[in-house]
Amino acid sequence: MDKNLRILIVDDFSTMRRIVKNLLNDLGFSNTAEAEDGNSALAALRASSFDFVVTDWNMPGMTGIELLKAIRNDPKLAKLPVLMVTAEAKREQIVEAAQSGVNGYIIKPFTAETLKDKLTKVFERLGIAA
Amino acid sequence: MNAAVPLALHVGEQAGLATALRAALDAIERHDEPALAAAAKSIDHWLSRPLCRTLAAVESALHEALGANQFEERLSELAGHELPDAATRLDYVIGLTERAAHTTLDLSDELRRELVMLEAAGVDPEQTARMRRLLNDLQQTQAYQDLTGQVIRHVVGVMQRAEGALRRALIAAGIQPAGATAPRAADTRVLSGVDRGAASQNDADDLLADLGL
Repeated sequence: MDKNLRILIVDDFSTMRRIVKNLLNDLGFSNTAEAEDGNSALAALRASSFDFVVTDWNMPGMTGIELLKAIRNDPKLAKLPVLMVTAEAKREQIVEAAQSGVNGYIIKPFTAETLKDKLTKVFERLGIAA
Repeated sequence: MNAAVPLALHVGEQAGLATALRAALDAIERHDEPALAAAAKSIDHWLSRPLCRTLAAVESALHEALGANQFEERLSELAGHELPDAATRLDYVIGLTERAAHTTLDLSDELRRELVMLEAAGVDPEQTARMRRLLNDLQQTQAYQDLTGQVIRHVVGVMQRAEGALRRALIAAGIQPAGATAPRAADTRVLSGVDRGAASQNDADDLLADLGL
């Protein structure tokens, strides 16, 4: 996969943003940026170009699922891959995320292996060489 | 003997009643039957105003009584379900942070052992000393688990005492607190690790596969 992909990490906890960022770095993705909720994420996505979004669900302001729906409803962002990384483990929520166009769903706490596995799957499905 | 019950008419209502009475008197003197009927209706209207007000007050009191009933239900739910549930969640937080802190300590211990080998192999002492300091800082930082754990245990104790007092008060008032297995509201969150019925990563994968993802 293209290690130069620009990835936006969205989580209200700076510790979790740091953990995800470190894991992505270990996987070779060093071109990352961070946002602390859906609103600032959406602003960042509209302000500059990103290739991938990793987002939490439960955040104050705009939640991850609202962010996902906003991305899918924005013609300029609609095709952007979104990976949900969340402690929300309700079946209805996984279904809602899938129906809203999520590309992958990781339940916290997760391992580096799970993140790598899901990223690879998303890239494979999108036809980006793994 | 009781004094006559006051009409309790407001000033505007008294003026309205006076106008209606004058119109009635006028109609009687003119032998005007339709005008008298209209005036009588108007007199009726003004005299019934205080009764309408009383009925409105009764309605409002009824609403208040119903509200009090809901309040009892809230207290019962709080004592029987929500407080014990909240305490369980806090215990989960303690357990999770404890495990994480121990893992961090285990890993830094392993690094210390590596460091001893590096020292024996003759690596720059300044470099190994710096690494040792960093590892020490890393271990020190894990003290947060102890500090936060103590605060959480204190809060759990307060909640359990509040729950006990509330239970006793409810039972004394003849109200049975809601059972711990009270049905979960449909909109309640289900968090992995802490809630029953939480989906695992495998469940999520299967669900997504079923949905064609």
